[in-house]
Amino acid sequence: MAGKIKGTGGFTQKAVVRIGLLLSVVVVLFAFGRQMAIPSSYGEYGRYRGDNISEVVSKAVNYAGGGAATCRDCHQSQYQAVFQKEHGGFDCQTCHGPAANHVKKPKEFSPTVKADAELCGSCHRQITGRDDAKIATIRIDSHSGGVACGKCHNPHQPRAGLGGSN
Amino acid sequence: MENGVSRRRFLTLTGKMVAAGMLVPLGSLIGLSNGARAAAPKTDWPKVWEGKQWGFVVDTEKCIGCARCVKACKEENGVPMDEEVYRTWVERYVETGNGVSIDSPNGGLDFPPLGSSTKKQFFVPKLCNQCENPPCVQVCPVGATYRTGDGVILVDAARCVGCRYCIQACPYGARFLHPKTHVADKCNWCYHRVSKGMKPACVTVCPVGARKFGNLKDHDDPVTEIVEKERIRGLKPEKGTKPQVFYTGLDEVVM
Repeated sequence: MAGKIKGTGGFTQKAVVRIGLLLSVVVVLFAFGRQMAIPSSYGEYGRYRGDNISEVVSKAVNYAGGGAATCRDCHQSQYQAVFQKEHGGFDCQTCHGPAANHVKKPKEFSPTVKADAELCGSCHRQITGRDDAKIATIRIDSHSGGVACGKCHNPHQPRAGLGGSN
Repeated sequence: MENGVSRRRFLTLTGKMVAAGMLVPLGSLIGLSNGARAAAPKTDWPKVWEGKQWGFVVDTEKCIGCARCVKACKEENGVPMDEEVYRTWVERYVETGNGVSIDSPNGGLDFPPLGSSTKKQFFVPKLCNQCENPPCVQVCPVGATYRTGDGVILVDAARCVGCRYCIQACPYGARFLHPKTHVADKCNWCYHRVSKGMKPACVTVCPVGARKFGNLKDHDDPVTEIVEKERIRGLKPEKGTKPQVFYTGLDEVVM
């Protein structure tokens, strides 16, 4: 004991205290940085940000759900017309386009549809791969020359023939 | 020494103060994040997922290649119409004298008439297979893509860094870099719709019923019935990804 110099013993040694302090600063800095870098919900359910599920789910819907029944309440006659015919099983939005906004605010948003050769042709144009046994196909150029199909056909009563646009 | 504080003492004191200063925000941060977690009304997702396992059936015999699904998908999910990227697309297989020709111009929206062929010809709709064993999730370095408890792979657009590793990893080519957001994007079976009880947009608009969507854990679901009773095939079974899009009437040439 006699030969011992003050401040050199074990954990009270100045150098050890200093290194200890430095180390604790590093640890705290790391913990702080980690806390800042990792989103709070990360790892909640797995190796991803748990909050993202709600973010994805809350995305806006453009195509209304519920099928043609959703449209029936307001568009009775059109529904009755199309219901029994070849196009009866369709969701109205297949041709009329996205209508979720229209269902919510009918006066502000209206889906627009043109019964033209492009729209009808997407199903009825004759192309390789499209089987005439499954669907009635035509050659647009020789059939109508690209005149809007709705001029002669009623898409709600496809087999009724030349009913005009409705 | 002139100011009465030695350099050593100054450094020590500063170090101690910084350390003490760091502890305060750290502690408050931990407290805050825990507090926020408890305060906000959060959905208990594991409970929502209970008894749900989404599945998708594609009947290639019914598909007429009208690509209403491609259009509806883009409109529903904010994928630019005029860009050559698709969450779902329709391929056309035409057997010719020397092999099979496969095309999908503009995702199937612009099929040209082509010369007539008397041999086998058909359409195959493609989309993300929501694999049970997804390579895209495995390779993501930042945890930006994951599989939910009800079996859908989602992309966290806020977390994705756009490294495209997942695009490379997908054996089905289902992923792409979104031209506007510049992060990975892909079909998620319209998760925002199906979690509200609706069908995916492509299933909604398909005029021939070639696309079907349902809950595989519900044994009365028509989709479950098809998967359990009919002859089905997933794409590229040799990849070991266990795809959850099941095809009926699929020709052997389809990859």
